[in-house]
Amino acid sequence: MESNENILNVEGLIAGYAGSDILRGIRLEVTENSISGIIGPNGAGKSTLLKVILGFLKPRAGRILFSGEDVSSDAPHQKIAKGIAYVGQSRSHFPSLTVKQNLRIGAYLEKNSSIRRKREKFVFDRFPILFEKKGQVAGLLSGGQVRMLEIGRMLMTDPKLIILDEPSIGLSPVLVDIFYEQVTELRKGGSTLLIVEQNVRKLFSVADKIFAIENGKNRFQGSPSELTESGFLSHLYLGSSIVPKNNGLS
Amino acid sequence: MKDNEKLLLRIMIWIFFAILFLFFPFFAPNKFIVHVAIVGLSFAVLAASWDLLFGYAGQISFGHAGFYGVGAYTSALLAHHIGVSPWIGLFLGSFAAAILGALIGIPSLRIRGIYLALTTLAFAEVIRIIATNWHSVTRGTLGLSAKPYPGIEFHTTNYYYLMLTLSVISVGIMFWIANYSKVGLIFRAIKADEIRCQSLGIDILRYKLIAFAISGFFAGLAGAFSAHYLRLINPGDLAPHITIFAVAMAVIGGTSTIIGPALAAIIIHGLMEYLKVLGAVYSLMAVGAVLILFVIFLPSGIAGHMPRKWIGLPETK
Amino acid sequence: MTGGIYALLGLGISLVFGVMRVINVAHGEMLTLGAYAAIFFGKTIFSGSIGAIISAIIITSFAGIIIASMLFRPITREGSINEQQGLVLTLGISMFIANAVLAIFGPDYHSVPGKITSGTIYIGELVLEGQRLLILIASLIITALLMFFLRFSVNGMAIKAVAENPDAAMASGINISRIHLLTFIIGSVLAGIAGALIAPVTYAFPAMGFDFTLYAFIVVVIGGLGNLWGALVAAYLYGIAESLSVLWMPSGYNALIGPMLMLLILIFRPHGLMGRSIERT
Repeated sequence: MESNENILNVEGLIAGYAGSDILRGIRLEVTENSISGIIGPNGAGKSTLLKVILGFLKPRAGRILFSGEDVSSDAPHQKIAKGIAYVGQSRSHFPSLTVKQNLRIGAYLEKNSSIRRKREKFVFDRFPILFEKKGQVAGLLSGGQVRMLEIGRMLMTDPKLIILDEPSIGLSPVLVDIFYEQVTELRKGGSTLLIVEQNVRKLFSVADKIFAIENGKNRFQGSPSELTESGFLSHLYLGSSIVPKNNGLS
Repeated sequence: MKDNEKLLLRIMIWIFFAILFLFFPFFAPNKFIVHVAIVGLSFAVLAASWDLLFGYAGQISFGHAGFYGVGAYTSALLAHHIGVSPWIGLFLGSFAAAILGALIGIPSLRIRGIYLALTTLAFAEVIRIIATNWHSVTRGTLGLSAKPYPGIEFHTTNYYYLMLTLSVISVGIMFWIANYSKVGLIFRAIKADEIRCQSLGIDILRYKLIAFAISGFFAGLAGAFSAHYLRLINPGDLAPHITIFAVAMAVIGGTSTIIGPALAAIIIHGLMEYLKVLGAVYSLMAVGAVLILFVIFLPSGIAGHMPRKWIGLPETK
Repeated sequence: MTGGIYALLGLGISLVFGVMRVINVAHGEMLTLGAYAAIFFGKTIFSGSIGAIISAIIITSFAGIIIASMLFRPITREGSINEQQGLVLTLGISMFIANAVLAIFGPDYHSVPGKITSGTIYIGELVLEGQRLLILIASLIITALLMFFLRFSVNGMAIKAVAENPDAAMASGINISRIHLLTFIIGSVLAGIAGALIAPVTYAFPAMGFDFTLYAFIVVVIGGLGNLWGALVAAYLYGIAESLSVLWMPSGYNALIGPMLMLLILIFRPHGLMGRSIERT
């Protein structure tokens, strides 16, 4: 597996807080124009992993390569500038600003106003509702519309890699379906996605490759079907005594 | 064995300090230094009282000057207008400050953090303005003169031992309350997680009021003593710089330790008086700079970085 | 007139609080720096007081840069500053600056020789002194400039974004440290200008900072911490109230209005008169 093919390479990542390590040697490979997922029980280190990848936490050891470039110690805004985008669990929009202003902030780093307009048009095309409400204050939007706005804002950064942190939290099943339709659309458009999810079923329906993490270490990598067949899921989430037949470690 | 050696060392250090404090007036080269020590001791009580409220109960007070001043003024006013003996005034002043504390503590149920700090500041300012303007009673900025304690010859050495006794007892009581009593335990629980405490059925308001009252009591004690020792008080004693000093001492000495702020107050006050020889202003600048450095590099203060056993604190949790 | 000064101060503190979540106890000291800069540079290097104001701006922005980059940065984690540490830090800064000024310039009161404009205008019963009018106008203009900047410029939007949702702001590529720096400089400069404006009207002395800090707090609390328009309205209202109060209250006691108002608001309506301030998500 050559590093240059992958848009994201995480190698031997060790990180944690105040003396203890939460991540103990994590690796990830995300190929371009794919959807990769990260699953694992609570406390496995998923959010810590994202924090490190995005630059909120410095790793103690290991490397993060983005399109071959070492970005391990970059600050968050530097990574955004390089094309890593992120939609988090907590509200990541600005309720007191209008929809249009929200999107404008998303394009903060883009100095060229015609490029900004192009991106804005792209977002409005994909989410017609946002166009309808473009002058409305974002605080008045419904939950699903807010999610769309957050994706829209994120798209304004013209990302190469999109990282989603538990996107289906707080969404009704209908909205979750709509959301994942968007995810598929994004992949069709050429984007690469990395998704952390608890809703394993939904994730498995779209993902190309899954990384299972437990206690800060990789436990399994493979396609969703490989993972399901191996019976590893029940071990991971239910702590069953069934030991998987093969680890699927490639 | 290492442990026994350590224990011996600790005991020796404690004995050293005990001797130092007990026989200080005889070591001291002149009376002025003893005077400095006396004032330093009263500030030690003040700083410790602030730490009790902040480091243990988690309530920020930016109005401690109000407690100090109320203690001072109550005692002095009673002596001045009614002729109450300063000995009784000492306690009445402290109680008055404690009541004030409880009053200020009432809003603390709903107000937290920065807002609480501002609230206490406002309270203290209100008191200060009243004191400045109520000429008939307080003589305004002219200040009140207060008689020294009757029955004791007004001699620096005597007052030193008086203050030493008062402060050791005060700090000792506060230390015990904070670290070894049930009340102190609840304080710390409140500081850690108020909502949890409420869900466990603890009456938060009551304990917050207790914390404020105790803190106020001892701050008032410091004030009341100072009033009769320095024999003069004026509204300046209610000014924010007293509060700022208390806060600075607590942070530098180490919040949540009681002893840290007390010792820091004595040491730093002493250093400041010493530096005043060089130029009053530089001493305060130095304190400001030290405070800044401590906040950035040593947030838990001096005592915060010493092994807990050394200062008699029980192991955490 | 005092309303204008309070407005400049209040806006500064509200802005810094909204973005950095720090109550800057040392804010008044920026005013002190501005006043002293105006006095001393106004006397020596620049003639006329426009130069004085400019020198005030230069000095306070310098101070702001040093404080924000060297002192606040070390205690900033993941884009936020620990509330309590920040508070105590500004306390230390306040002590340091106030006494540094004392050390350098001495405890005497200083006054500026000559004002920008002297002379008075009479409008019916009201006597408007030239300088005070100028202060009012200047503060209005500066306030307008500030609001304009925040509303329409990219950096202004970024500041509002960080105040509202620092995580989302970071995710949009905004450099939080830089915005903190910018915000703090703006706040400091506002206070410095206030100092330069007020220097000709009252005396300048080293401890002047704290009184003004208190007024700024009062105004900001009344208007709502973090709410800029609230601070503005509250500032002018309070300024007027303060001036009028001498008419029916024994002077001295009228200083009570501020703290008492602050107390009332804090106890009964902590988010100030203007309703919810910009809530951090």
